[in-house]
Amino acid sequence: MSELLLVFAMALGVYALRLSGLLLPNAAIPVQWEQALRFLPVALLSALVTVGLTGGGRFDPAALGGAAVGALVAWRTRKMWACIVGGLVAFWLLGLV
Amino acid sequence: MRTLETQANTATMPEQAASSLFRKGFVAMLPLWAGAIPSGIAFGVVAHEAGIASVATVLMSLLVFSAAGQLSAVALIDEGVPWPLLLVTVLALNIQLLLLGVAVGRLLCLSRRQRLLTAWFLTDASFAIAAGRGPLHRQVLLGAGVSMYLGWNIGTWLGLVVGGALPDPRALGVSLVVPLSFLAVLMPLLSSRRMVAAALAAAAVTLPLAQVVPSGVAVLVGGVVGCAVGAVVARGAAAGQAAS
Repeated sequence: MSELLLVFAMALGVYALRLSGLLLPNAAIPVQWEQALRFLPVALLSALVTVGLTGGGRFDPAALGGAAVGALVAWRTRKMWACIVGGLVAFWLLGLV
Repeated sequence: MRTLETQANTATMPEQAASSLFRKGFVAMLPLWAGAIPSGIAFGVVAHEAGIASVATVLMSLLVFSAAGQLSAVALIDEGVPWPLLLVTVLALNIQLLLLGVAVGRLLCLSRRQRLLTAWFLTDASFAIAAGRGPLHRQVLLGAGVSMYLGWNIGTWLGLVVGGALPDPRALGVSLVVPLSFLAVLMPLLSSRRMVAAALAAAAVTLPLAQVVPSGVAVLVGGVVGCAVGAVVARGAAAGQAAS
């Protein structure tokens, strides 16, 4: 029972985070920030990649190599599946070495 | 500028195309199921091993819908961490959702009801998928989010039912799938020096921070610093042009 309460509290908190950014009216964003916010997708994606690869003290050379190959493939082809396949194959090959 | 973007969206995407846009987002997310299902399985397995009731495990995936938050919650329950601390940790792991919401709210013109629904399915991955397909559209974002939601919950359920019998999916590198998908969206966006500067600054700040604080906090701070650096570089370029 108390476990369920914890689940509901987590759900409420995380949903509040998801919603509050969305509820911020555009008028509440100062004009000077407008220009900076154009960089938000790029900055967020870059930060998310960094956390996904190295968060919590993980430094796996094979994973980093796989990501480098994936980045190269994405840059050349602009295709998501090619980036994922290329990165994973590189990761597996580097793991064999 | 904002009204122009909104007008362009409504002009090129008539309302009757909503279901096909939704499907587009849903299908575009499918490659990421390769990451979502194994992570869901891993969550189901560790939750079961930690002695958490199956109904609580299933509800958590249905209601919380956050891999990082749920996996850490299970670990903390297992360690007997006090609940207020646990809640703060789960929220800190997801605090980047605030910025994500700002980014989405700025690019889409949403009614109140649409905001409630869009928020429920908003994740890092659905934002990345939708932002990678031209101008952001609500239905693409929603389709991608629902797709991820389904994959995550199927994975959780599989983990609970057959989990122990499966090999550890993490050895196959499935945790790389989501960062790779972010990279696939990020690389084509790096079309100018100011964008590259914003991305590099965000990564440089996030890297050391992610070793010492919850991932959401690292992403939030990295995202804000990346934006600021991008704006400074852009302003410098504009000033340089004005001078010459």
